[in-house]
Amino acid sequence: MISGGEQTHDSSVVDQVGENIIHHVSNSDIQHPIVHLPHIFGIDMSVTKHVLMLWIVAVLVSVAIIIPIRKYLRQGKGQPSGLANGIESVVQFIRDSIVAPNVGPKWVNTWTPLILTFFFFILFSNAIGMVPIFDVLGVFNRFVLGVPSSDSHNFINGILHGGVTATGNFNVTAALATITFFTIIIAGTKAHGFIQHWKNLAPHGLAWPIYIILIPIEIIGMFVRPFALTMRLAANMTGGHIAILAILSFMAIFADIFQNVLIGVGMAVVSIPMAVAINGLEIIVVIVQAYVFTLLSAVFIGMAINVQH
Amino acid sequence: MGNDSDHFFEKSLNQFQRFVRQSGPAAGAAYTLMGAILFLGALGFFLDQYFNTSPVLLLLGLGLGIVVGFYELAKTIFKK
Repeated sequence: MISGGEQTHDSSVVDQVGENIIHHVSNSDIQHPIVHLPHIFGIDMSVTKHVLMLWIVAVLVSVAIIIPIRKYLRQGKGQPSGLANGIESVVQFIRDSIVAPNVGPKWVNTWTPLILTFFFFILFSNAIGMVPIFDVLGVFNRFVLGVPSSDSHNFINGILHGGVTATGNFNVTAALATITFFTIIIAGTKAHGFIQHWKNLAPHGLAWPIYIILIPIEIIGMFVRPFALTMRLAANMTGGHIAILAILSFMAIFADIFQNVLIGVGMAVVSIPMAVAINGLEIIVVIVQAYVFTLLSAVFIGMAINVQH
Repeated sequence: MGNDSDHFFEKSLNQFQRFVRQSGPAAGAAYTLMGAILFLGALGFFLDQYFNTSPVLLLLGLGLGIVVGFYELAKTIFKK
């Protein structure tokens, strides 16, 4: 909460709370990027908070997943231990319970790496949103180093703008869903050939007037699936954070309504346990959302491979 | 005792995996139903704003969304 948005003192507390919540769940402003980069083809390539978070997640996934697996593979055969053992159980669960039943035994090894990449990337992106590292840095900056929040040239003040959950950004989830969209086409093409994949869109052997209705419905369905993936993940990740911030904001809102600081402090007895409980729920949501995205991707890829009308 | 708890844990895990396997297509159909209505509804809404035809295209979008969503749901339910 310390990083607050551009608040004006003449606006009401409720307005400030609203601004603060939006500021904490949205990406940082492109006008104030963390790293300035030039325009390419008219697109500003500057690094915003969510792009920075994606980079951090990519590094974390590499360190926590790729390095232990490569180390285990270098050792040769034998039972994995430690972190590699934990990773193995997750990999086996996703391969045997999510990918194999949907894409079938023939294609399980082809599509498991992609689904696993989705799972670990989304899991880490969701989870890092639960770690208040930037808020702690902000507190340190403000109260230990004594840097005022108005100092826009300070690096830590710069990275406080925007939320930390990259998967709460619709552009990120749309990019992930776009990968799924093309994977569905590639999976169908690999399994049946390019022409047959498109022929498989609609059931065979129906009267031709039915196809006039059915083919557009199937084509719309093709775009609806990635749209559902996009909205579901981003909305779930944003919703939890908004709930936590709104509940914590009760303290400020009630203090303002009754014009009494003690009532605001008293609200902490209700707000903080509720926020802690929702944080606990969010930890489950972090895992469940990564799981649901991978499950749905596997289901949609499987539908292109195992055509059943 | 140890064997009993191991057995219970294994059974629970197997059951959980079975539920996961069965829930996949149902989750896919449910999200597609919701996604179709939202996607086509939103598309109709924005086209209405653009062409100033409110609420014709919104209603058409919602109607088409329901058709597409239920078609996808039916495909899952009546799978051979």
